[in-house]
Amino acid sequence: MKKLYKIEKETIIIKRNLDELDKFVKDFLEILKKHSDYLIVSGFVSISTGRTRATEDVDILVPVLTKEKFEELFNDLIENNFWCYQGNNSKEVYSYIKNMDNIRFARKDEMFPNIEFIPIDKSRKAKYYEFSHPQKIKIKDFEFKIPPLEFEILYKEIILTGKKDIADAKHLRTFFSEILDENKFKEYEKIIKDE
Amino acid sequence: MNKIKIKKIPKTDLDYVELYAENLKENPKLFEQHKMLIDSQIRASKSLFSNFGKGQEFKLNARKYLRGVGLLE
Repeated sequence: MKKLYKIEKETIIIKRNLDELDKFVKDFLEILKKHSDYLIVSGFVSISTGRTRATEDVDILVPVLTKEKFEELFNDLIENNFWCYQGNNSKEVYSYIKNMDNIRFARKDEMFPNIEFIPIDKSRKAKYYEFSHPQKIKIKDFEFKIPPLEFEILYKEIILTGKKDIADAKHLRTFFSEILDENKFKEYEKIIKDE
Repeated sequence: MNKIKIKKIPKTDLDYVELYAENLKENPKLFEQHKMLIDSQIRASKSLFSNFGKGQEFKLNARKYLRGVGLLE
């Protein structure tokens, strides 16, 4: 039988229909991408590739933006019916970004799901490494960037280690068993353990 | 009809994750179930907080709730 995923021009194509969580993330990324680069990490990587579990948040790494750039992004998100848990205007929320603290956005008049917006810079070595080595993934017309699969698996197994993280890693190891590269596991393990 | 193929009897939670992921590779029915679960969670979440009002009132109530559950300082 045919597999429900394939690789085309280094992009992983998953053959399934979009669900409401995908549409939420897609809408957010369409705005974010106008202002900044990004990387989706953690639970959504597993869920979007078929792990059947609930989630409340979608973690997205974003390089620290200048105050001006952040203001443009923030206002664009508000104009497009998102709201920020931490505050109603970019000035008050920027203090979180400056301190490298995470902030959250959800759709207007909704609480969940939300985007956990994680500011990163080069001081966060492992996070910056995965951010700089993205893997593209595509479901229908929704294309987004995730870490290399081997990196995501090891990060869950070595750093996060929660029950759901270990299960997510197991899902990724099994679902993508034909394309995982043992050499990459060795390479990434050093980077993650150095963090 | 696509049936689940079982190579070994699952015992632990991780065995079930493995079994599901193994079958998911070739069984589109499982992705349909996956979509139903995710969509249902989103619908449930929306209805759970629908009594928080709209606009500024929603934000006020939401932030109060989030502080209560430790998701906001």
